[in-house]
Amino acid sequence: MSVPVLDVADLRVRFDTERGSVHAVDGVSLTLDEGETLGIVGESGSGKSVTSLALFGLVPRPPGVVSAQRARFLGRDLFAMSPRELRSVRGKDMALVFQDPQSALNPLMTVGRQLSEVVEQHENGTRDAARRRAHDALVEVGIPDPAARIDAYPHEMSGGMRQRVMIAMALMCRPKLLVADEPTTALDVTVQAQILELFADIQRRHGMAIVLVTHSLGVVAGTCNRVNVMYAGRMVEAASTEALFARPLHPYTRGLLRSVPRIDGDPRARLDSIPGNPPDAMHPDAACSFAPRCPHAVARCAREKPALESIVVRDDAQPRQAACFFARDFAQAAT
Amino acid sequence: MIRFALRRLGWFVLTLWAVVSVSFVLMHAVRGGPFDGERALSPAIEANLNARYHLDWPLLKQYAAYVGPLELGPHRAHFLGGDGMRTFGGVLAGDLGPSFRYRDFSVNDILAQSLPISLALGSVALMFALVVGLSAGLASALWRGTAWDVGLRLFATLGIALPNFVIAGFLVILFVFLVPLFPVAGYGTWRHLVLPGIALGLPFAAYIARLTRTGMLDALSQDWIRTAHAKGLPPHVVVLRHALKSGIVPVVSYLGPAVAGILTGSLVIERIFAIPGLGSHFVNSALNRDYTLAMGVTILYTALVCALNALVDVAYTWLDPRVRLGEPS
Amino acid sequence: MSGRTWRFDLPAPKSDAVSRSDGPWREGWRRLRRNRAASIALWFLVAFGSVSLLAPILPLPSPVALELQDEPQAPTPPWTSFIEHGFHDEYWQLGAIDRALVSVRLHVFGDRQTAHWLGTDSKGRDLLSRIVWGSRTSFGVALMATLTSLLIGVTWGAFAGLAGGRTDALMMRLVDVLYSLPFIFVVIFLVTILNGWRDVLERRWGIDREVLFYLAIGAVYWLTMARVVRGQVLSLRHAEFVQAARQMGASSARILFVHVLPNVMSIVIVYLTLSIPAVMLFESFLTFLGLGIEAPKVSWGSLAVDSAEAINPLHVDWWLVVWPAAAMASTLLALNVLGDGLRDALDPKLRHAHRPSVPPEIAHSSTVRAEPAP
Repeated sequence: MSVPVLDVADLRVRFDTERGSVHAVDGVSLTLDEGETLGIVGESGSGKSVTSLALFGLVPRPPGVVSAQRARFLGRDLFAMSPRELRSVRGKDMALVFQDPQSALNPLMTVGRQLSEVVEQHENGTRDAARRRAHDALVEVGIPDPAARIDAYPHEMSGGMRQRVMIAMALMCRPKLLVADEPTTALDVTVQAQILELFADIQRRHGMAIVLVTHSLGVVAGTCNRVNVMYAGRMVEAASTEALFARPLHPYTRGLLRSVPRIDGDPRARLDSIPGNPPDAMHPDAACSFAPRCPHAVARCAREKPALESIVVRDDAQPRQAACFFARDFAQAAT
Repeated sequence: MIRFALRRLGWFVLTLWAVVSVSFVLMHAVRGGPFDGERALSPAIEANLNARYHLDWPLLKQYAAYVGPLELGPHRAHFLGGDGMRTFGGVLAGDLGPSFRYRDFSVNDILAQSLPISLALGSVALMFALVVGLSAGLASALWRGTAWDVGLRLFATLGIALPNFVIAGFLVILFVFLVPLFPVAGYGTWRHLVLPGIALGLPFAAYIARLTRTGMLDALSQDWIRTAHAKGLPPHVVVLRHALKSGIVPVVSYLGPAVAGILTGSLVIERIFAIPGLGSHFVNSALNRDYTLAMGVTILYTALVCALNALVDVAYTWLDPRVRLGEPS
Repeated sequence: MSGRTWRFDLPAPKSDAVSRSDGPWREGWRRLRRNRAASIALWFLVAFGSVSLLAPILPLPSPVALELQDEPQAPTPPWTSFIEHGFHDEYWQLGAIDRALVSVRLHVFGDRQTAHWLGTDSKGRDLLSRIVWGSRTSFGVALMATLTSLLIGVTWGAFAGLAGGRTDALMMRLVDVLYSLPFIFVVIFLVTILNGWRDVLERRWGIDREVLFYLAIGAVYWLTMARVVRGQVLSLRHAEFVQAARQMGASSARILFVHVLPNVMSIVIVYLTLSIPAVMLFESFLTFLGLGIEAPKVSWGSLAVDSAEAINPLHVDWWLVVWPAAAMASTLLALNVLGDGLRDALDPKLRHAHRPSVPPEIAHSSTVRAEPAP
């Protein structure tokens, strides 16, 4: 088996503030092979965006403190790299697409310049060559009239167009890994679909690995091979998309799935919501953080933190994991 | 662009007109004529002087003559009830009239002589303010929270809080008496402009440092800075190519007021360092009721400030493509 | 499952979130107290203000009594000579209250006075006393001038903001035009002109030069205030709670006084704190040009003039430069710091103008403070 594109174990990110430490990411593990798409799902504040920032070394330090048992990108240790090495990887071999293209693009610089500077930074060549590459990238992401758009400023474009520019920027140097942090959240629903289609298209053509960070299970269902579910900075469940949707093993995932409307469901049925709010990440307890909102919680959930354990469900091809004392019971009940 | 220029010109003319009118009224509301200070003027001589400068005309006519490009030749002057003596061309024709005090000079002569001096001083001060202010602000923002930052901010607040003539005092003690590097006063060589330039520019340098720091911190906290880092750009490229342009926007919009302030501040600095610029002329002329000279200086300053403000607006659109000329922000 | 087992709520009630119910002023006060620099500035100003206010009953030498000397006297530190005799009851024309305070002082301290701790000026007048008495003048001028500008500016701005439409546009255009004038010239004009009418004004209206001063400076500084207030009023006019009050039939006056003005107050106070130092600078500026406070009365402006004159090639009387500058700098510094602190504390909008460099997901729990915007 070849080296995985991304291999991260026990990633932790902590923010030390005047009022105490915030454990934004608490032991997250990911592996990703070439051509694979991994979804990271969670509500806002669950640490999914911080996870992607941490992989790129973009967590502001201080106040951030990042550590991991293992963080390998194509076999190279990301956290052992010097700043210079990390910069040579960032934007070239691994690229990041941000959530809000409105604020993630420099408003005072033309789109073309923002694209071409990526090439200029990472590859030798003339400015003209870089500009031609920028033009090609705009064509690839389906921007109409790229010859004119290349000299436009971000504010002269629509939201969907700007997101296409963001994606073009990420693709400039043909990265092996693309991390997209809520790439469709700021967009209209129709545009969302187009952007997701663009991701799938790009992956088909270049075969890169994609990490798709999102709060929407709908986005995950259509695009990802595997899904990690995060809650309060921890991974609570990891499974193949199919298995997860068919048989969620963590009460949180179950709650999430029940709160999504289904096209094949009873139109009169009420959507469930998960009661309560996510906990304050400042006070990680020796307890399951989902327990206060969990319909299945018992006294043990308040005393002990359930570890992420591998669970075998008979008809699932791939191994899956969940962090719940009752996950096995759910798995059993399902078969 | 043309619409912007036209509108700007319109406001400029309106502002100038307001300045001319208001200062005309104010100056003529002063009790006592321009020749009061001189002792032993016989009534005959005074009447003569008044006649020479048309101070015996009705106020409205003096005003018209001052503003208008009326070439008051004998015929028209007679028609208006004057004595036929040729008066000056009027503000609109670019003639600011004769000085009441320096009788052999016109206001234009005096301004032509002193404006370059004031401009030289102002430029030195502005350059100093920009260079020192921008670099201090940049350093402060990049080393945020360090001793450097705290020190620079304290220094900046001090610079804002101290009157420039006190700063001038310290500078003179330091660089004239303790370490004799520069002359104490006067005008002639570039060395005469160093101390006054610093004293004049320092408060503005302090303010620009503060603006730069805030602007840079704001810029550096933007999402697109994170994007720039994510592209793998080295820190100095992120700061210089991406953050700086946005960070100095507040400084650019402060340039207009800064220039006005530097011109104003030169009133005092020119006096301290005995520099024969516009500022010292203005104070003297206001105190001496030299109407035409005082008004001339005021008009010139207003024109300068308006022109610079227009320039700043153009610079603004160059910096920030989202801003369009002629549209209120 | 008891609340003791579950500790998901916030720990101690020290945070912003808990104190929200206290209302904006208390909340602002708390935030100000948390700002160390601003607190120090506040206490410094309170201490200095008390000394300044109580100057007549303090055993200070007279600020104007001349001692016949050829040259200024260097400071005698308090530990060499603390108190000496020889107080002269000489002042300029004092108000009734100050006069009474001085007689109390005479009663208590007799002819004892502090030695010349900070030295004397070229005419032998005690520098410490001049600094303290000068602060009274300067603070007074600054306060009165700022209040004048406040009165004009708030009225103008509130009216423009409430009137809206064409009136608003016209009024604000006027402000724009006035903004582009080199206003100091107008003030100098005003002061010289009013000087010409001084005797009349003083005889008939009892307006002396200082009052002219307030008016002239107030006439300059109201522009910013008008802009700020107008902006606030305009945004408040469309604020939902004002709309709601209007829906419920509240009168215009009620809306203005109950809903709009209290909300404008905080920003007005901030600008007040920031314009007092500016006016104090302006006072010294005009006094330097011979258009401000006149002898024998002393202000910080006149002290600054003295110190500028004290610099001559023969001998530099450093104390004449250093002490007044130190007093002026520390006070103005404190006022500026307090103003910035107040702005941060009272105006949550400005407080969040600069986003903390922490990912938004955890920004709510960090206490990264905003920088003082200029």
